[in-house]
Amino acid sequence: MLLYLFGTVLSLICIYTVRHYCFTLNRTLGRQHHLYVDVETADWPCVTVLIAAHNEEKVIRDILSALLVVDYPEDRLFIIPVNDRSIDGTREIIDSYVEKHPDRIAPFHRSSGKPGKAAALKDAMTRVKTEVFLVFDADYIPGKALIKQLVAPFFDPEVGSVMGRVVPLNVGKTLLPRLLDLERSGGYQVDQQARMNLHLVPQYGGTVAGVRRCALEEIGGWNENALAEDTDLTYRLLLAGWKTVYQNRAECYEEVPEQWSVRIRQIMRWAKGHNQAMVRYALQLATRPGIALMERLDGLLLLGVYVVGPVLLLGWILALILFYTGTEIGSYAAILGLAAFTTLGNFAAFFEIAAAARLDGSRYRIRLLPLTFLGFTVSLISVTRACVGQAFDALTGAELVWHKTERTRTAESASPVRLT
Amino acid sequence: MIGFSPAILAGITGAMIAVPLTPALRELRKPLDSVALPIQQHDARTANFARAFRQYMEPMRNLLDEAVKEQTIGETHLQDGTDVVFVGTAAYLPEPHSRIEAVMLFGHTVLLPEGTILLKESYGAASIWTDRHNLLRALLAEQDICLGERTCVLRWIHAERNLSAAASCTLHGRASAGTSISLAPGCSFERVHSPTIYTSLDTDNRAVDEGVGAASTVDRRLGRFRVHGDLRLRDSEVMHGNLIARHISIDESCFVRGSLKAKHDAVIGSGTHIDGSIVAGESLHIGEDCYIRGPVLAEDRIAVGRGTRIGSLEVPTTISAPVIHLRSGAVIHGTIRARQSGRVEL
Repeated sequence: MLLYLFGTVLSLICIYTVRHYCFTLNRTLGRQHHLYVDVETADWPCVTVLIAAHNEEKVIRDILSALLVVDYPEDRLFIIPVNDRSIDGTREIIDSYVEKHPDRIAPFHRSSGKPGKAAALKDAMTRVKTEVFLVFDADYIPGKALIKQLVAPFFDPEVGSVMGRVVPLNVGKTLLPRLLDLERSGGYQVDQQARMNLHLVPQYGGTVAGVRRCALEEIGGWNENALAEDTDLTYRLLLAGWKTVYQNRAECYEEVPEQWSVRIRQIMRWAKGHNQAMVRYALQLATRPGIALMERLDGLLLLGVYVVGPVLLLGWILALILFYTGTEIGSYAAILGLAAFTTLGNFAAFFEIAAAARLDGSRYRIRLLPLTFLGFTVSLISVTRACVGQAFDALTGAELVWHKTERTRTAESASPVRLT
Repeated sequence: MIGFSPAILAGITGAMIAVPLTPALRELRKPLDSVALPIQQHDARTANFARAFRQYMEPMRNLLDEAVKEQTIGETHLQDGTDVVFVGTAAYLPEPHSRIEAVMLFGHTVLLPEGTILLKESYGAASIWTDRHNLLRALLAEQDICLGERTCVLRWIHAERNLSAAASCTLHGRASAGTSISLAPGCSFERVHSPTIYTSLDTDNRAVDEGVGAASTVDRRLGRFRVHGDLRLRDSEVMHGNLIARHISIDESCFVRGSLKAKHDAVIGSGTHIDGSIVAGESLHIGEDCYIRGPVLAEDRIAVGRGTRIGSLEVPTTISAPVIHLRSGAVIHGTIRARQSGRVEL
């Protein structure tokens, strides 16, 4: 019985291993799809930029300054900072910008209502009059061409949402941001782009991202009960026949956690939100007609990605039990297969990171690759805690609580683009 | 020997761990690569290289003005060793087949004779004309540029007014103009940008600009029709809405108020009017005398027929694919981006 369970675990891990290797090989050797990247001239639509802000006094100035100088027709770009119950100086900073640019920035100050980004965005949607809107977290700093790059895919009538690439800005401080920089590289430069190349399911990430309003309305608007509104939206759009596009060149700086405690809380939230989406949409995705087979399969694998951690941990425990109980695992072929897997297979994700660093033109930072195992271990334990806790909460009926990621940016480390 | 085995095993294991960890710990202690990855900060416009060159030569403008005033030819050397020549006389005429390795700044309209090779960027305060078989690295002119047959531009070219390229010119890199670009049959290109791009040198054949709606195609809520299979519109059919299908085939003289998305190929018949964008997952063939509002995008190739117009002066757009073939007589307003090769055919 344990042996069969171990075999199942191993098979599941192998599936994800093959998936990672396919992505990496496609990204390095396959044909790349950048269909929308060259749209330089167009009848640009009106677009609203929503900035989700909850106690963001350290960072909000940078994004507002950057958005005021982007290359996009001024009369077609509307900026709405969504101040969600901030108790620091966020409101005052936003209002100071509104005073100087009243025709370009219209704030939405929210003082009550359900906590969480999804609920705040849902309330702010009453102010959005444009067909396309973009969402940024307050710690992002968009470049001049970013708005056009995020809007360009919407000329494709099949596109419901767009995701750009996030690049950590606060890399040089401590080990954790440097490890997260490598992880982000792998996740965007290889994973997301490969899914775009293979016509699978790129994920809408909730920031540096855009949504078509009629698509959102068609699927029922924002789900304020979703802990991860980005994953939730990706799947609801997919089920309704809308595509999510990933634009690798639509790059934007972000701030990553600098403390392990913040990182752990962040990844636990992502895991819970993702698993919530898995429970909601896995069956629908498996059975809904009209979805391409590969999209369906990849979508299901993507939904299960935060369950892989606890499954892997279970596999290690089972392996130890089987070893110490002297259980025969089969022929030499099986032993060889297991040995091959534990050497090559477990490193699929790290291979992805290495390929991403190479594609980014990075040199010495790839030397930190062995240390990403530390981040991997912390994530593994955190995700397992989250999954176990979530299962327990589901049984007891406890409510999921949203936690904001803390910011660490100071004036010295802020972007040089700042208008007063 | 057996007694040493655990020690040997421990040593080998330790070495296996130490080998990858050593450079990691060194990078951690003394970071050599710990700044944020550079991301695109500029606005990605075609004329950016020309703009950058103008900024580069701006400090030398007074030297050029002086040369023009004194009707002389002057020289200087930059700190990086680059030679710069200021041509202030209108009578300047290099020898045919000259090979010039300096940055040339022309104060008057200049004619470069056959076979001239300019290995550095060059600037013209007025117009620049070239004879046949010239090889130019990069060119910027404040008025017009006229390239003779089989002239090759290596990096970029920009005219503030009109740029025309005679038969079989090759425009590598970027080509842009403030008013219009004319590409004769046989010209090849990569990235071209101008309010109007003609694919013939016939100046009489200028299409009348059509009035178009002001609202962007994206802003219009037209409804979406998804076809799980192929779609065909027959002659003179009219369709309102965005269409998504596997293969799209539109016969002649149809009118579509909306955008098209073909997961594979799309074929647009002659005389058809598409008031929206076209996106094809593989190839796109557009017949003659069509009008497409744009953008027009394909993953594989785009062929545009004679007399077809893409975009308008009021609403310029982009046409982009790895391979783009334009039949002589097609007119594009905005940007053409052929990531592998673009060509004007007779």
